[in-house]
Amino acid sequence: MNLHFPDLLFWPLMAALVLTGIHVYLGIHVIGRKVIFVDLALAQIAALGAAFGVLMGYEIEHSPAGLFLYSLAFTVLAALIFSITKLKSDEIPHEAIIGITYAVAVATTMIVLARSPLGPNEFDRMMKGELLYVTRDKVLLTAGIYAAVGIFHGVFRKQFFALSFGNRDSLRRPRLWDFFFYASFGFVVTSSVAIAGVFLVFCLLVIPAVGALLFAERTLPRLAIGWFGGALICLLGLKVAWEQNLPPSPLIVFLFASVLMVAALVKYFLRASSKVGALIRTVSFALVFLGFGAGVWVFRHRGEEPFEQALHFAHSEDETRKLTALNTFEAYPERKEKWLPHALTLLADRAGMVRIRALELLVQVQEVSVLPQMVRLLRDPEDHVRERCLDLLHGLGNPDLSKHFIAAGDREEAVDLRVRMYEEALELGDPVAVDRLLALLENPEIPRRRKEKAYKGLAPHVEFPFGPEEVPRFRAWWEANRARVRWGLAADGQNKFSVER
Amino acid sequence: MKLLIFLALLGAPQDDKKVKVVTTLQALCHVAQKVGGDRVVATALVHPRRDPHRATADPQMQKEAGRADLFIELGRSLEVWAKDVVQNSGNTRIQTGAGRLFAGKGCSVEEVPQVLSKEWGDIHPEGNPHVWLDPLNIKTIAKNVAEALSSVDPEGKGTYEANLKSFDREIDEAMFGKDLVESEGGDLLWRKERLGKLDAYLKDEGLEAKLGGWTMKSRAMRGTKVVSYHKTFVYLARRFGFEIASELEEKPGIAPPAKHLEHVLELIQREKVRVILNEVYYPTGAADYVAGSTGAKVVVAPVDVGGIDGVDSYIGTIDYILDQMAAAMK
Repeated sequence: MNLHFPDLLFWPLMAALVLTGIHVYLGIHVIGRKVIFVDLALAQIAALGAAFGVLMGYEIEHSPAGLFLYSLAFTVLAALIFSITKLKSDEIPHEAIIGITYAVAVATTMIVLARSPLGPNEFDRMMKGELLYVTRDKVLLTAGIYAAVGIFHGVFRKQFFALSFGNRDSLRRPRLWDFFFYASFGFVVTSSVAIAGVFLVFCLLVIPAVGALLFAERTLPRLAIGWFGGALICLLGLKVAWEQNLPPSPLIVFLFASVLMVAALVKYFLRASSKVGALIRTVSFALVFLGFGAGVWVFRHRGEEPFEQALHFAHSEDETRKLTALNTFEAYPERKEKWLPHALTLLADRAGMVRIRALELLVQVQEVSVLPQMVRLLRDPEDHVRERCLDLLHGLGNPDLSKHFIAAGDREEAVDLRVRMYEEALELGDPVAVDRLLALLENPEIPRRRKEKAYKGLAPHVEFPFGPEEVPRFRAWWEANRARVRWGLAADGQNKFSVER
Repeated sequence: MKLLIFLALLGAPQDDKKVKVVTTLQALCHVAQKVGGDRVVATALVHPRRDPHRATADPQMQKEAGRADLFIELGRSLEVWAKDVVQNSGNTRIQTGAGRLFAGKGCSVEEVPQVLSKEWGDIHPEGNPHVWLDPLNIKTIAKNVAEALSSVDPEGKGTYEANLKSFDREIDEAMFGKDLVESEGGDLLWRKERLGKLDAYLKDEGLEAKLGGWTMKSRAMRGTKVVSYHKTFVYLARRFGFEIASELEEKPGIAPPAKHLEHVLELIQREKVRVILNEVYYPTGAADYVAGSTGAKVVVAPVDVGGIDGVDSYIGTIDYILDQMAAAMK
């Protein structure tokens, strides 16, 4: 991996750093208050607000401000609910109410979005965020909002820390401050979810704070660890997402979790009284995980051998699978004997495109032994199959074909194709083709343009020179000499019917 | 009020006599209504601005399917949820056989897996499912629908065949222009078109001046390169001769990763791509982002009939996309 950091990732990185800044700080409060899921709940309420905004006629592309205000209004309402539902007794934990709010918010979002045609995509977007497509203006705006919240918290830090860490009863109006806390929290979450998605925001909030809690007791060192670690992981996550082409938000979540695990392990070793015992326990745990992973791999589904599978595909209901089978046959010329009967079945398939593909394959491998089956496509019910068949057989130049061209031409409805079929037979030196083309030229029902075509096909291949309007003269010559003509190369380099001398 | 109920009851039996068709896509509904005419009442289950890959079965869909005489889906693994709707509809007529049609059968398919290999599992085994955006395929679909309608309602066979004929004629004229269809007939023109011989034929026969319709309109965009969000427009591109140089998505169904977008950016600059086709149901964030720094234009394109307000027919849908593309290329 090179150390170059792509320019395109500059604003996404700035966004991630701004997010880390405020969320690590808020995370320490959230952990202190033991309301871990408040973020998920508020994030979801913000999403619900936006969904309602869409329902009320605002469009994502055109009025982001309107949607933001809807989001915010919903979040503030939720802040109010959270601040008044913190019960004195511990019988019903606050976390339960927050969890319920989360579930209800998700459910309501689904109901609301069920009426919107773009619902599923919107839902997806709320989960994953759009970290990669964040613009400079959005990052600056978000940074501004966060700074305002940060200053607010800085000014009233005494009250907020009292709420989160212990002596809540020393405050004069704890519920009011609860409300302020949740409302400012809501401000942050509303804008961060739109950028990073629900889950990354949740992880940014909880994981650095938990990590910091492992190694420090006081607030400032905790903040330092969280900020530094968080920023580093965001940087690494974006870089790896870029290199490996993975979605950044989920990847950063994953990295956060991995780093937290390593940190926990380090902490465990630091604290363990017997280092050897700790090592043994760690290794045995690692072995269990390894065994699990090995099991997952060992029981993977092993596919059929490709050629065998192609043979099955040849008898599938689906046309595409049959085409795939024929494509695969082509790659196995050495097993032609085995696939030939299957290819012949497909030559009579009910789908025109399958018949054509089968014919292409057989022509390509020059399988002359099945010529009788191949020429059937000259009389195919679909006109494009007949024309394609004509094109393909043209290349073979097999003299046995001429009688089939004549027979097919006699039944052909499309006049242009009929002319071509007779021409093919003519080029193989079949005098019957001259009879047929001549008859076409004399037939008053044949359109003029088709007659011109037939004339142009016929004239160069007969010795007797005649103009387009001199068909009767040619007829007389042909009647007089038909029994004596011979097909062969003439002086002008063309194959012609000429009278033997 | 009583009068209203009376009128409603009076109206009802007539509707009851009609063949009730339920389709997944609006395009299929449009075709069913065109081919079915007065004998048929058709409803579509998926909103035209919803990604048909991602729709999910809901109670309303089951209710609709429960009343259907004929259920039409495209197939090719496009509407995987349709199976749930049919199975849970409690309607025995549409489970198998005559009452259930996979309208995409017989359509010409792109992106057929080339050769089976060990890694085959990654590839969409039934090819790209967005077949209806090729006018040739909508004709095949209409033919399939006419056959299915004739088998659930044999009395209407004559009507369906006549309607199919006029639908075919409409599509032919939209594709090649009225003059050319009158002179050569739609069948011959389509045969030449699908074999890649139309240009040569028109030139050979001195018919170039008669060409009109979409084929004429799309001549200016022949060979030009465009970018799309998802692999939705391969059929349109094949038929009208433009090339989809890249998708914003790197893998179908997965949001565009950043590194890939950088490749797309380079490609847009190098190949002077002018148009980014963004399906109406995908977010335009990635498209706007690459367009913003290159000067290409984002065309928000309908995929299903009705995907753009007021564009309520198949012909209108193709018209709309081609017109928007042409405008963006100016």
